Amino acid sequence: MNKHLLLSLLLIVLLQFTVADYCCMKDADGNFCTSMTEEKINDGKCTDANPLQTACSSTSYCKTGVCVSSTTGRCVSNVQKAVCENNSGTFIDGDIRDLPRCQVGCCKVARQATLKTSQECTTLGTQLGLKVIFDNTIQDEMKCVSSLNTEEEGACVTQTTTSRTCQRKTRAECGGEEGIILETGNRKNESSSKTFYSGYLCSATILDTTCSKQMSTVCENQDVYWKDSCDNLENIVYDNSKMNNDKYDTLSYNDGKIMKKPDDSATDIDGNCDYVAGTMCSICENKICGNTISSKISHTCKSTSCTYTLANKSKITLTNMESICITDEENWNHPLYVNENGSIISRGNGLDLPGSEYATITCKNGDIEVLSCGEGRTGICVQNTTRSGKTYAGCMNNTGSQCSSNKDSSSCLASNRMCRWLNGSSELFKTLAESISEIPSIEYKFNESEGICLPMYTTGGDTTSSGSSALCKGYTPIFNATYQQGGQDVDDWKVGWCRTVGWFCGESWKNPVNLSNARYYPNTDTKNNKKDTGKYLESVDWTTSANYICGTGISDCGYYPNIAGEYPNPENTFVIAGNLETNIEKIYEYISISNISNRIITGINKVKGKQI
Amino acid sequence: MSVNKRGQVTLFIILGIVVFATVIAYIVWVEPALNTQKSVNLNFDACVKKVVSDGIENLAITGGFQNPTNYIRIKENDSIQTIPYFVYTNYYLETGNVEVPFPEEQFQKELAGYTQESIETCYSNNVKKLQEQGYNVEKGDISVDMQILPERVKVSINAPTTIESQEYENIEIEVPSEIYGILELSSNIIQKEVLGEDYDVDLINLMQIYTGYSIFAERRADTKIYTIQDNTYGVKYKFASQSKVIPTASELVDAYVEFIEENMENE
Repeated sequence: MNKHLLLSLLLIVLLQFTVADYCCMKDADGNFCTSMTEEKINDGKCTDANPLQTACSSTSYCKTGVCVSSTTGRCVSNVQKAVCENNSGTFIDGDIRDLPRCQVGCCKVARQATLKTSQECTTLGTQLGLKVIFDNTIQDEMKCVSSLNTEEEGACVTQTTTSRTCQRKTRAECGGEEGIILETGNRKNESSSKTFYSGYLCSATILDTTCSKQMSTVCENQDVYWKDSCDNLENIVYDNSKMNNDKYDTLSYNDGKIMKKPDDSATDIDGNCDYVAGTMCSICENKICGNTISSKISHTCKSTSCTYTLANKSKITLTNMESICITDEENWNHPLYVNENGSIISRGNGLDLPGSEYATITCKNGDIEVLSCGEGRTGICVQNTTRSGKTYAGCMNNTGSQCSSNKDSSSCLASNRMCRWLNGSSELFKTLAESISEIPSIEYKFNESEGICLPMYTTGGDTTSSGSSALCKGYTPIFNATYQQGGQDVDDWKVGWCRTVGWFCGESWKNPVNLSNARYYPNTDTKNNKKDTGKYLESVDWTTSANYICGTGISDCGYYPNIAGEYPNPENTFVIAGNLETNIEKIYEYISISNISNRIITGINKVKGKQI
Repeated sequence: MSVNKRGQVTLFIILGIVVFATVIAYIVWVEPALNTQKSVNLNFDACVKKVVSDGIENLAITGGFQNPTNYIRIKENDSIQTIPYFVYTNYYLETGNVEVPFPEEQFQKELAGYTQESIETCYSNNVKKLQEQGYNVEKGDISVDMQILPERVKVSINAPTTIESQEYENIEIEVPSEIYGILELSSNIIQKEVLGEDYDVDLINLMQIYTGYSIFAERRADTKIYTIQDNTYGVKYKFASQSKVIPTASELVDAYVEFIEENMENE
């Protein structure tokens, strides 16, 4: 290609040397700006009186520029001045793109749409006796033609012997003749049966149909639109205040023509809701429709934001699609909060009451939508706050039941696990150890590495005896002891211990197992067959710890109220071993010093979770 | 008193006879004459439509010119066609100048001239026919004006004519045609030829936009011959363009040899 160009340039240079001497403005054949030799000039081939002895490109009459038609206003580029003037055009020395009068736009007239200059468009309209639409925002041929395609809507008028009905349709849907409205206001080209008037409303006065304008409103594409008496869609509601005086919305009527949807930013248009900015079309509430009391208007732009009253009675405003997490007001736990980076801000404490659930509250188009994350806390709620300050909430599966498989703090607290680590030095374990130590010859201390991996959010669990027992069995504190039940040593002390505690999970408290035969043998005294007196149950602290670690901290177990504030019968709930009376006393002592003592409702079972 | 009464009766009878005679005279002479007048009219629409349609077809094939000044001759279907250059330059690689800036105005003017004589014949034949039917027709000189509009050509004929004392002057006939669209497209192509950066106009794209037309471009040496055909009436419109011509290798050699020879002769 480079070779081609070089050769071509060479040729151009060569040809310039061979160019004839004279420039003839108009030759004998009628051609303009022809280069001629002196010989041809002398032969009378040029009609010019005095042909210039120069190259045509250097003459004023052969200069190229823009030629504007004096008849139509069309602009044509690259026309020599002599040619332009011979065609009754006005020659302009310049670039067509720099001439305002030559700027084209989309000229729509009847069924035609082409790019034309404004003057050309007006001329065509005059020639046709039709109104034209010149849209200088469209300068692309395809867009211009497409703007007048078969999808264009208009009034499809059906004439019968008795009436003149109308439906708003596309040209393709309507068929029939193409009706024309003349500048004089008369109709032309009307069929005896069906005529399509492009761009006109059925209620246009000039069409004289049975449809009356602006008789009701409707939501269309989230904006408020008028409908005529024939149920045809009209234009967007512009000024609904006009309706109070039984007048009509003149701007919306638009001389009976379909108008383009205004830009959302046009805030002075009553029906122009802006979904992004937070408004959308909706049925008027309590018949308050903006600034009108007309019965014809039944829709308005309403806010898409919501106001939600939290459990503490404070009100929170949520923008459209914003959401938050909630749980039951009575629940002692809270949702999982994460920051914009997804890091946990506040973990669950595991103090979920039986019957409690988590849910998302989402503001959708001005309405609050509540979505439960699952009964029995099979799902929990995570709330995220973005940098912009908006909150978004979502449910996720509660994997808390898998926490027990983590035997150390690092695996327990891994970011993908919904667990919390209760280490051996925690107060709960300390009290447990201390209570155990009250038994003579037992001196047991938990160390830092020991502990238990508990769920952040407890699951409702299995309410059957075996199910709850099995659940609690899984939560085993990591320390060694020996427990004997029924005279048989159990290798894993905790298994027995937790089995016992697990026993008061769920509904199993109804049938308490009498552990009077169970005995605890500390490691050191096992061989001596020294019986455990069940003294540990005499400790309130032990009861508290055991209740938490193996009961409420795992599932709907132990002595806790449900969300209705109902408690199980403590006498049936706690492990009863040794001296029954003594232990029951301790249980009541525990209850009396706990902050829940005043809420005891004896004998009422755990209730099923309520839908929030 | 009785004489007066008889006189009154006689007067009524005479008045009755006069009224009766008037009615009979109207029915027998005046009304037929009026009826005849109403039914007589110049009627050569069909003839004009045929003439104009044929004129459009014939002129379109030569770009709207009867006698173009700058043209290329091509042979097609055993006939020689003279295709006018709408864009032309003598120089390689240069963008051509627009030779026909307003094809529609050119076509309109040419069509009026081309059909003038035939339309006159249509008129004369109609007048002659009416005269043969026994009507008293006086004809005048006619002038024809054409207006090419979307989907039609409006023919305005000024024909001062008197038929049985009834005067006629202006007649308007609309001839269905897509020549307006064709001419618009030709203007469009011309502008793309001189303003576009590409050597070839994207005709496929144009046909996608203007779906009612088929557009072809054929190369004949350094010239491109465009054919636009409307898909409704099948009218073919042709024009030529010689612009942005890329020389072939042999042309370059020939030009160089010519240059050397000329310079040697001069020396």
